[in-house]
Amino acid sequence: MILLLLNLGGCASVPEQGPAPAPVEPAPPPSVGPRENIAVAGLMESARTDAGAGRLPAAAASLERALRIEPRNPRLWQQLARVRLQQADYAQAESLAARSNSFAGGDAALRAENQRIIDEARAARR
Amino acid sequence: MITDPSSGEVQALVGGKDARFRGFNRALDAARPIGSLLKPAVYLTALAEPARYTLITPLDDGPFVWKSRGAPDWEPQNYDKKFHGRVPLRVALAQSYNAATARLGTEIGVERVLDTVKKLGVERELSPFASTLLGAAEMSPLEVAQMYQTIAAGGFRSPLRAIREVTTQEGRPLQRYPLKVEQAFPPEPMVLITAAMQGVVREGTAQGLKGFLAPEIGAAGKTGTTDEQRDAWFAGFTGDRLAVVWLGYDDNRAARLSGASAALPVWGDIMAALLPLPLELPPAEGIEQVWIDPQNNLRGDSQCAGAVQLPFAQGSAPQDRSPCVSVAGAVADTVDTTVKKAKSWWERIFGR
Repeated sequence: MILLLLNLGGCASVPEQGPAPAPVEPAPPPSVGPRENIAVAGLMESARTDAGAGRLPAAAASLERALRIEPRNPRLWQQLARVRLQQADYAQAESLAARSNSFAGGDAALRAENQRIIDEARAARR
Repeated sequence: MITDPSSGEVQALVGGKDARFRGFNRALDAARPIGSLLKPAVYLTALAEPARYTLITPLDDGPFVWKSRGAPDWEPQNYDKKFHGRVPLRVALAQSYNAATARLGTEIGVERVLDTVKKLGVERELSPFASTLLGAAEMSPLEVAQMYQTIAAGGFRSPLRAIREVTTQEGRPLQRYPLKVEQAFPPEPMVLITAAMQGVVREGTAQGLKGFLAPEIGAAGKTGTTDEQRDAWFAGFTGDRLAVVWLGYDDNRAARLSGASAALPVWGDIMAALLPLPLELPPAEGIEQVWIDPQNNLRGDSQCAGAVQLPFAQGSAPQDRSPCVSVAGAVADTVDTTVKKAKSWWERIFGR
């Protein structure tokens, strides 16, 4: 079963049986998530800095720019949800976290964080 | 009108032959009957009840008479002046059958359809009569774009915007118009209605798009033609764009245009030049893809003649197997499912 999976991944070759086994290509290091496009990564970083410094509208503007480049990136939607939470726009925080979930696929960590944002937004509105 | 489905930003807007004309802008201001463009709202309302309606539920496209006190009997005709008997729900939308839609809409209730239209983002009050189901309702291309925006964005409604912010000459922002979303529908019915609208293009009244876009794009849309062909509409979306096209005369004369013959080629021409991304719906948890044998509406497999793979809300797909299912076919499908599951496990652990 493991061999079958390695072949599907296409990352490693199966070592040959016999007296002199052929070298196995190393699988690429597991990545935590897909790598962002450079422009998007830069905008996310800039948004993080701005949000940390309390410049929330600027952070949101950077994230919106990033979303124009990668509209299906769940991390961008999540980061925007966090900014709205900081701005006390709880309705938007919840909706944006839900939007992030729609692109999250099987990423359990991302979904869990979205749920945390949704829960916090709902609690704040009670 | 052309918009970005995920943000609601208006990318292009043409209100007439003279693009610089400062007066009446048809894209914003011309409220015209939308005809069959309302049908997706009827079918979306139905598909939100998977216990009652799925993409394969048989509908009756027989003669339909709607009686209401104080009004003449309403007997909608189909475009080809024929009735088509029992047809699967997805076919009734793909072929834009009026009789089946009127029957479905009155069965569900006009008020519930109007509620869906409102949730899709249309603010205008539509009249609560059965004829509204077939689009006896006036909207501008802008309002139609807002309605289809919510479908294209998987149920997340964003107000259409043409301005991001207003700044001073030095660039200091005075007023921002930020991206806003609101989840108007759960994801499952949106997957179903989008699949049905892809059927409009693949097998239905919008097949003419084959001349403009490769089938892999998987565009979804709806044609619309009104009484005496006064209005020709096409509204549709791909992976990264939504566009609404309307053609007609200001004096409302019969233009002898149909959505498919007049609006569709304009849409196709525009989209082909924009190199659209394929429409890929993000997978929804409550949806499963099932092979169906159209001969008997039972569960089939990829080897059954004429079999189609369709999305169903979990638990709403037929359980019984069609006789067309061979052991070899069933094994092939099981292996296929196992391989897909293994791949997605791999991707979750190691990233894409």
